[in-house]
Amino acid sequence: MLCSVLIVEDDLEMGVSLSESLKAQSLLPVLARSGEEAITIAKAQSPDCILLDLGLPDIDGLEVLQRLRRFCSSPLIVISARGSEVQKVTALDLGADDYLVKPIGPCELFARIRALQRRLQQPDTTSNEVRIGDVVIDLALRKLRRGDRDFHLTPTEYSLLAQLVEAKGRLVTHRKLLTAVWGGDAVEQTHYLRIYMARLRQKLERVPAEPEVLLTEPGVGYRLADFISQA
Amino acid sequence: MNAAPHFAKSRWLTRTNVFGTSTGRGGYPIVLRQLVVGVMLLVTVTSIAYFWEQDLGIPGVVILYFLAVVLVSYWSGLFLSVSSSVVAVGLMNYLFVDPRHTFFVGSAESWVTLVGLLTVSLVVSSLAHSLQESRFLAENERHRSEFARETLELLIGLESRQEILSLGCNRISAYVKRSAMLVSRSAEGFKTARVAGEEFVYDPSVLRWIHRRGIAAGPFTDQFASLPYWIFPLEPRYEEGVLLIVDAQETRAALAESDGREQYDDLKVIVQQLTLALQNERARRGESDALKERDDETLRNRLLASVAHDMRTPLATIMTAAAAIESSLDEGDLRKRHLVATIADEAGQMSKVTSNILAMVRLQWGEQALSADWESVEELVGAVVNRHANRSTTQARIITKVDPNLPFLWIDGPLISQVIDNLVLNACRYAPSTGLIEIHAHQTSDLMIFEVIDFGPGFSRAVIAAFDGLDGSTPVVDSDPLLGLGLSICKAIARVHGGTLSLMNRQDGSSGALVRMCLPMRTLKSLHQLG
Repeated sequence: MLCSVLIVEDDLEMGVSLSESLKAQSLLPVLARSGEEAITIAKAQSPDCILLDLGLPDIDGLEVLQRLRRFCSSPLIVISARGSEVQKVTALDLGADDYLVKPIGPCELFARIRALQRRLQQPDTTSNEVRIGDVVIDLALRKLRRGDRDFHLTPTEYSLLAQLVEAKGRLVTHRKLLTAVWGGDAVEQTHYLRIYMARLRQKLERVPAEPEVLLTEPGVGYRLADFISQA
Repeated sequence: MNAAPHFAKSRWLTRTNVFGTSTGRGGYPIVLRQLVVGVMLLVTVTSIAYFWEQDLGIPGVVILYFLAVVLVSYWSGLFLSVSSSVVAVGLMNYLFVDPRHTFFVGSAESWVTLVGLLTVSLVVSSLAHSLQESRFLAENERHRSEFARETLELLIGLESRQEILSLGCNRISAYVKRSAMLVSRSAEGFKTARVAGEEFVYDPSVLRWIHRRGIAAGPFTDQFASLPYWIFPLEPRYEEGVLLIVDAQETRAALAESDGREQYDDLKVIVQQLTLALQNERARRGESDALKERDDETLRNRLLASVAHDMRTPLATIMTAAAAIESSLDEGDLRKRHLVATIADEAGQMSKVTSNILAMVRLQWGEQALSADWESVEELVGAVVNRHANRSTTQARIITKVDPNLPFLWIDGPLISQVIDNLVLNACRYAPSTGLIEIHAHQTSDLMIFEVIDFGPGFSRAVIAAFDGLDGSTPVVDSDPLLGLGLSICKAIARVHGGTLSLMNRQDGSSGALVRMCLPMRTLKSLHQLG
């Protein structure tokens, strides 16, 4: 059960307001106002979730993220005023689970934390079958079913989908997908992704332009909507 | 080109090497000196032999003459060497071989002596001359290398273009001991930049041709070989560059083909050094400009990031604080709940305005450089639909009509997605909250057309006219509250993609607004082959 949340935020008012909001959601916030303090608290208390602001007074937030990821695998959401795609991709590639641009509505933040909570509650073992709405993906048989229709997955489609399933609803960057499926030399070939994602979308979505399963973050990557793993 | 330049003092009998110094290989003053020395040597030897003939004997006299011939051969050229051999044999025969005071040779022994002396003298003369020639060539080569090395070292130490050109012109003039001149080419034409010696009159059309081709012209080249000077393009093909003109008239008139070509080759080496130095200077200048531009860009980015941070953080604090207060209120305290919700909504609105202002500043500064990639229309529209679904502030529903099998577009996906999202937000603001919003995407032969349609009151004529008058960079927030920064930014983004954005009302008789964005197509060929 997710309960403790480490808030890494140098702005005192923001940190206190966020703490109050989280308390109202029955969560246990802990506030750290610098990078070093955040690392110390994370080592000592192993929080269940981390909210990390990138603009910190002592260490750059991205470096804090890197250092946290060396010993801590708790879900981590970056909350930053820096909203460029490059920043998002960098943070996600360094191990962030999500990236939100300030100012963010508390409702959206709580929704993201709940989504992470759901993923944590799923068993660690990689399941062969996942369900997203009326879509069932069977990785063992390389098949997917939408409603009462069965679709066969080509090897490349399967590899892409396996990467997204493995991420359990987290955003997976273009670079990660390209490297995993086509190798390190293909990181610039984003049109490969567009082609195969278009094919996957045809199989996964009822209306491809109104996606419910395969979600796109333009310029950053893809994620699967929240799903249920089945053993 | 038609007027001959002034030349240095003529040295038509003096063979000069490329350094302009006497070579000692037969130049007039040296030949005279060598002739005098040779004659004196032979006279001295003859005198010694004449007075001490009894003591020396014929073998001694022969050795004395032989020594004299060797010395003359060593110090002088081939002609004097051979001449001294012949004269020595003649003197020997006339003064010391019987019958004396005639050139008649009386005995076989005398014949052998004289022919031996002549043969040995000629062989030694020839060898001495070859040795001297080799020494001269080696010396000449050393001087040329030394000069080229010195020039290179001097050029390496120079930073500015003016210094490089000035040194180059002076060195070359000193090298050939004649006039040299630099001519700079600009948009206005050719202009004399520097003169060492006398100024040349040139034909601009010839210079233009040479500069464009980037090849040297003048004597011993394949281009304009009859010119009285050489022309070297130092910065060929650049819009603004410099050409070097070097006097060659004396060379053509006085030097043998091989020596003239040697001079030209030497000049080419120095010109290459000069060209390289100028290229390096250009590269340094370009690097410096790029660094300055990068610093400026970094500074602007930092400023924008700082402004974004300073404006967004308080808004985030207000929104979060409002949520915290709201969570602490009683369920029944509707008045306070409404007030807190208003604070949060207004902060959210302020946040959108802030984002729009920053986006507009980025576009105006040119900071929003396009990061183009092949993008799927379906994905972009889908992302907007997904974003809309996650917003809790509206109940409006989106319907999409996206043509199947649309080609990929070469665009900045996040920016175009932002445009469609802004148009949807705009539609949500003015259309009924529970109404429908339609997103259409289809293609014509050369355009990709996106349309966002609502069922609201539509645009007034004044708004449409005001929007059409926008140049894509000037926001008109004051002119009409309906025309916020959001639409101005959308138009600017469409324009940076080479497209258009226009406002209109629905044309099917229903009430509602229609915003159309047209982007030029740039489809990926053989897309399916890539799969």
